[in-house]
Amino acid sequence: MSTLTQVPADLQAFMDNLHEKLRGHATRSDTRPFLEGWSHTSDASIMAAVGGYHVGYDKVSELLLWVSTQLSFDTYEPEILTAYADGDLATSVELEHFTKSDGTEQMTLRTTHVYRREAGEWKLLHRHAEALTPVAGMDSND
Amino acid sequence: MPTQQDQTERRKELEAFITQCKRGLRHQVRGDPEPFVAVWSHADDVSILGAIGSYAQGWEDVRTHLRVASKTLDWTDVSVQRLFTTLSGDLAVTVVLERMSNAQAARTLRVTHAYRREEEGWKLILRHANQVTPDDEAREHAILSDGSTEAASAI
Repeated sequence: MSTLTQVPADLQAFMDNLHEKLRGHATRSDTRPFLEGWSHTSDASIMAAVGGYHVGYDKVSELLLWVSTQLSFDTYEPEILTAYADGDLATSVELEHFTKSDGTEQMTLRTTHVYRREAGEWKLLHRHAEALTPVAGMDSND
Repeated sequence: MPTQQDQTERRKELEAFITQCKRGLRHQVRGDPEPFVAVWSHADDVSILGAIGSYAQGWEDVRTHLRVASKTLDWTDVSVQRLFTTLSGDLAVTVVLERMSNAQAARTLRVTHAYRREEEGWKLILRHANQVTPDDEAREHAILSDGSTEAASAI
């Protein structure tokens, strides 16, 4: 069965724009534009690579503003693995590749984004991300 | 455009399916994968980003991942805390915490699930799960409460 979702044009445009904003967040500590792409609702949520979970835009923004002060990557390249969309809801699964230009550090995150169309505009509703690691011992899998 | 009644009915069907997924998960983490395997879509765009690391895409690889992983697991108690649910058309997402334990150990997973309503009804199409530790929670608490500058890579 093949049901790979075609992403609607307005969602694709939003995702492209969001990637640019995420680049600013990750490489220039320019987090405000990225935050503008988020849903400013109480059910926005983040499971960031730092390891916890937070619900509500206020917590999301507070965490991301702190995170941006810790980041010093020079490049960010998103790689979309798949996307699902229907009605006013969509999800994408992505790899995010970060590097420093001097080659001293690189990081790849595996990421799920959830998007919701609010008042006619797509917003990022949920981000779940952590470092992509090789398959570990099967005793820790689910 | 679905009516309000359609949406209510769809939400009811979704909740029944989520209950079925939870039952499947309890088997999955005790070495019996088939009830959880059965809740998945067989489409080639399904994805799993499991707690073991890496990722798998497409039904064949996801099924293999689930079966191999399940054999090593023996969590006897599982509880699920739902953080939020959203549904639109034939797509739905839940964000949950899964707490598992046995006589020797315990763990908490933070999990994002996506579901799609297909010809046979609702199916699981995405599971993204990784472990959250007390240290992780303490670190984020520190970040949010007192501006701690403990270094961490988090985006």
